[in-house]
Amino acid sequence: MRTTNGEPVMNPAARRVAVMRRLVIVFFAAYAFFVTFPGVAPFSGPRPFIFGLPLPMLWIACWVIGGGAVLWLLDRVYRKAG
Amino acid sequence: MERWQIITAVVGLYLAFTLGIGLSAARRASKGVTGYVAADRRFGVLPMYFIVGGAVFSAFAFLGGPGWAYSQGVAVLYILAYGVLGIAPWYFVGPKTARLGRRYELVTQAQLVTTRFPSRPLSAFMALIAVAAFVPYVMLQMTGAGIVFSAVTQGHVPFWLGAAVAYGVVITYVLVGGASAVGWTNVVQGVIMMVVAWGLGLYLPYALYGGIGPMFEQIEAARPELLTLPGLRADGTPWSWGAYSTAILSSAIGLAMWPHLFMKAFTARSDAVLRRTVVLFPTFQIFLIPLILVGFAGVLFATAPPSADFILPHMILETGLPALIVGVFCAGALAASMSTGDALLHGAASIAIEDGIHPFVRLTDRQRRMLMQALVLAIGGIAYFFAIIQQKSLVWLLLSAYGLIDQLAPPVYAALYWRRATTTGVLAGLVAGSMTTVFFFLNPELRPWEMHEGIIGLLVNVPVLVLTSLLTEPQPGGHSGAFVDDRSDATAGTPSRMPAT
Repeated sequence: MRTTNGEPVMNPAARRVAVMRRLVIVFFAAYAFFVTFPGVAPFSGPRPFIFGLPLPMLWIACWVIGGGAVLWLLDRVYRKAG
Repeated sequence: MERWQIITAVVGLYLAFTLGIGLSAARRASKGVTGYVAADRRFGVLPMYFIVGGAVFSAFAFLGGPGWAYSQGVAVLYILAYGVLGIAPWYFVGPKTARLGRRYELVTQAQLVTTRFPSRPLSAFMALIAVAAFVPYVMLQMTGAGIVFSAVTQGHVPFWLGAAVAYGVVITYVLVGGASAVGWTNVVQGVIMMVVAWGLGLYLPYALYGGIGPMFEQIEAARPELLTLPGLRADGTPWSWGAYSTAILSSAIGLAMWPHLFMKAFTARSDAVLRRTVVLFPTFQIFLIPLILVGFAGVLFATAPPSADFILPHMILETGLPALIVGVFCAGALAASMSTGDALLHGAASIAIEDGIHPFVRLTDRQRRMLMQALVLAIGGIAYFFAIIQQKSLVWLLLSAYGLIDQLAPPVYAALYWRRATTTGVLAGLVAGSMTTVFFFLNPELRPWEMHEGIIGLLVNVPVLVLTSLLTEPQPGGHSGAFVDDRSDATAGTPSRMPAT
């Protein structure tokens, strides 16, 4: 099946994979920005301590954990799409 | 029995156990080149997880990481930041690489690139870059092993002997078992590393300061500069944002480009195995946090180690832990060194023969395997020699290796994703980028904004690749389509491994 422009129509699973891939790219672009200068600059001072950790350490750890979660979601979508 | 003797005995037991695992794994693989280099493409999720984690987390993470936290404060967070960022592209690149590997019977990264861009000089140049980057990385691992031995035995086993004993074991099992031995020893080493890292990282802040929060509050009061990004240089002056940010970017780009990582992709049983390895990778990354805490725990410690890289063994020796526990911790640090060093030695020897010599000299399967084994010994010897005479900071050694490895990213991505890329373009970009990297490595004072030399090299490499490719004749559509579209049915220009150029 094709669209009016002649492009092949994507099935829902393939569309979900394509959307997820884009989201992953956006997430990791944001990751790169917010752990380097200037994105990390607002989080460069030690205070506040959260869970006993200085702010820059917690900030970067959150991106690492978020990165893991996004990769897990991507894998879930891939596996569901077969 | 003296304390250092008990510690040495525990470490000796660990080394014997690792050697046993490596030698028994050797029996599982076939005797050909595919068996030696790619473990017959049979690894599942468990060995792949520990191979990727173990190959990336090395003596650098286990000793250099705490060393940086101790001496340079939050500058160490660059190590925490780059791992997941760097491995994410591997979710797509890894399975595609493995599929192409199975289709064209590839066992190295340069074979992947030169099957798309047929050129013997390109193959030899990639082999040269890989081996040149591997030597400081193997030196780093040997230095780590030497540090552990000399520190925990209080000098009874000198640095040179400690490195020789640990790498004698590594070379033996790599020689006999190849990729299979590397994979299964990495499983054991990875488990030991994780247990030790979390055990120490949680124990020391509580034992010395009453908790993680109180530890950082005391550090903030005494040394606030250690807790403010981008941290400090080795000489105690503030690090620059340019150096900090490009250290992250260079390491992230380089992480997924290590040639031994590609070789391990060719060992995977399926695409799903590789994808799951990437998804599980952040669990390895998080284990850096306790190691960083160990380094911070040393900041206000009563005594100082001989150098920053000694902080972890120094702390465990000075906090009165039982000798048996100290021995297990040392085994963990050695495991970190060996689990990377074995993959590097195996990778360097395989690449030198498969990409540097085999394209020029016709060799039988048996001859290739024997030459690889001889090179494991030779490269191990060279790295050992330099590790002994030139004891550099562990993190410095790793950062210097990443500059060249970064230059492999444009050829790999062009091979897999850019139809218009040409052999001339890729070769020109790689040569220009590598020369730029080496120039700025040798002349660090000329780097703008203290940028990492690998990033400056990429700023030359990519435009040269693109412009030269656009100015040269495109490859036949069927040939590039076999890689870019990942089609197995491409006909026109079906890739041949290594035609003459």
